[in-house]
Amino acid sequence: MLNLTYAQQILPAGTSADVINYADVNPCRVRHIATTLGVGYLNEYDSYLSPWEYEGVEFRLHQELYRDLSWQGGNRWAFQRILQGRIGYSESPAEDNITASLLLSAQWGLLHKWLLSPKWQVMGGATGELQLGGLYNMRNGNNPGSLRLGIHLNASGMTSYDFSMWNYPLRASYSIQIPVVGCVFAPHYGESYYEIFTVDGHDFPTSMTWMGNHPSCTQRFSIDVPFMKTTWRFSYLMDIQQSRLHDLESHSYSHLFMVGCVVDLYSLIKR
Amino acid sequence: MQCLAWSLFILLGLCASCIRPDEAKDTPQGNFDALWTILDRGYCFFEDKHIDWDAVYDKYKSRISPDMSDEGLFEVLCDMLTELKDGHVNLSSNANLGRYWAWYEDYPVAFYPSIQDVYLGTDYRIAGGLKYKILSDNIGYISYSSFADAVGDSGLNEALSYLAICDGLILDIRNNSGGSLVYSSRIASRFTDKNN
Repeated sequence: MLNLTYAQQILPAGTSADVINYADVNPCRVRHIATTLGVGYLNEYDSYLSPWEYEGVEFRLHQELYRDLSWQGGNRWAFQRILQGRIGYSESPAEDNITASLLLSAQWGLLHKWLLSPKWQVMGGATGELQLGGLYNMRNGNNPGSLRLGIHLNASGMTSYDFSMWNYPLRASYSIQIPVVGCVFAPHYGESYYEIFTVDGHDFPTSMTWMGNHPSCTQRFSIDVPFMKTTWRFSYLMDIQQSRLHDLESHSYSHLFMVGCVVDLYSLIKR
Repeated sequence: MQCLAWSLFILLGLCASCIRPDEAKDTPQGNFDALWTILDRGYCFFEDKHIDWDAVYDKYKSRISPDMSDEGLFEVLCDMLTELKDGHVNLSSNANLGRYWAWYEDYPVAFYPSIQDVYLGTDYRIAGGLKYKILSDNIGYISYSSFADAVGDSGLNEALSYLAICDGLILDIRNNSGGSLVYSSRIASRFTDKNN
């Protein structure tokens, strides 16, 4: 049985490996972490707050982690974690009102890996997601806010392809998450938060979601470019979140350009 | 097999149907339809007020023409909204505020600030949005003229403790145009032990 000593050395991608004596170790598992910060277009609609779509700008911090698991030889399964935080600012069509939004999201999941070629990897599986946040409409009086609270089971996939252009190594990757089923906080039309949170005996309104009443998906296209001992990531992130629950409709369409860096941490097996 | 699975996966993502509000044309008829539809879907007192909203549509649609001015359209829309007889329904433009104030203007005045000035005087105490004092016959008097003015629990504690020695209490909420449910319920909770 192998004696695992985890992360005896940590090598950011592109770093010289001279610090390790490879005669003593075998590279085994990779922990891949990509952290990006982005800005882009936001379109928000929540019929609890307003009958109109609001358009504006969104800022988002996005971190995606893949870690090889040791099951079945260590090359078939990976743990996935996606953390996101976003703030948005949008205006009504008449530009006479503002909605601010804040949303935090965390996903943890398990993906199966297929190595279709030495350069092409595909992963597919499922993640569990927690979402917490809300919208605040600056003009509404008694019901200015709309809470976002939910848990989802997502189908998740990722593929990456290594290639070179003018002898320069690059990696293209794509990932997608689609909520399949879930449970969210969902007030009825006209049901005020005052009633929900302060009146004794009032039910906490929730609703089950599936792809019919919550058709949503998040997709990311990225190019990883090594430069100056760091691997830089340039991404386009498309986040489509929609729901039609209890006679209330909402959507949030985000199209973001993101920039960040990628770090690959290697776990090594001592011989 | 894996390619098939991936194709299905991407297809599901791309086929997510859009949930969007209805697009209204920026024409007199489009604006008229949009406003009528918003009320049709969202206004909750049609039955209680015995309003036939479809008949209202027919009545005012005839006043809409493609070449009418913005001001003319605004007037028709405001007239349509008065059918609701609702003081909380307003239509705003840069030039005017469409409103229904007949619920107030068509009734005798029940509140005269000049009379209140006589018994409230100028030596009253103020706790947040509350003005309060002890009247000459040992009756406690609290005037709360707007539910939009903040009232905190600590302020209520102070005011009600100050008035606890009184033989009676008047809570005057006349001339109050409304505001936040938070403040109204906070005050009401001092007069009941049930939360319903």
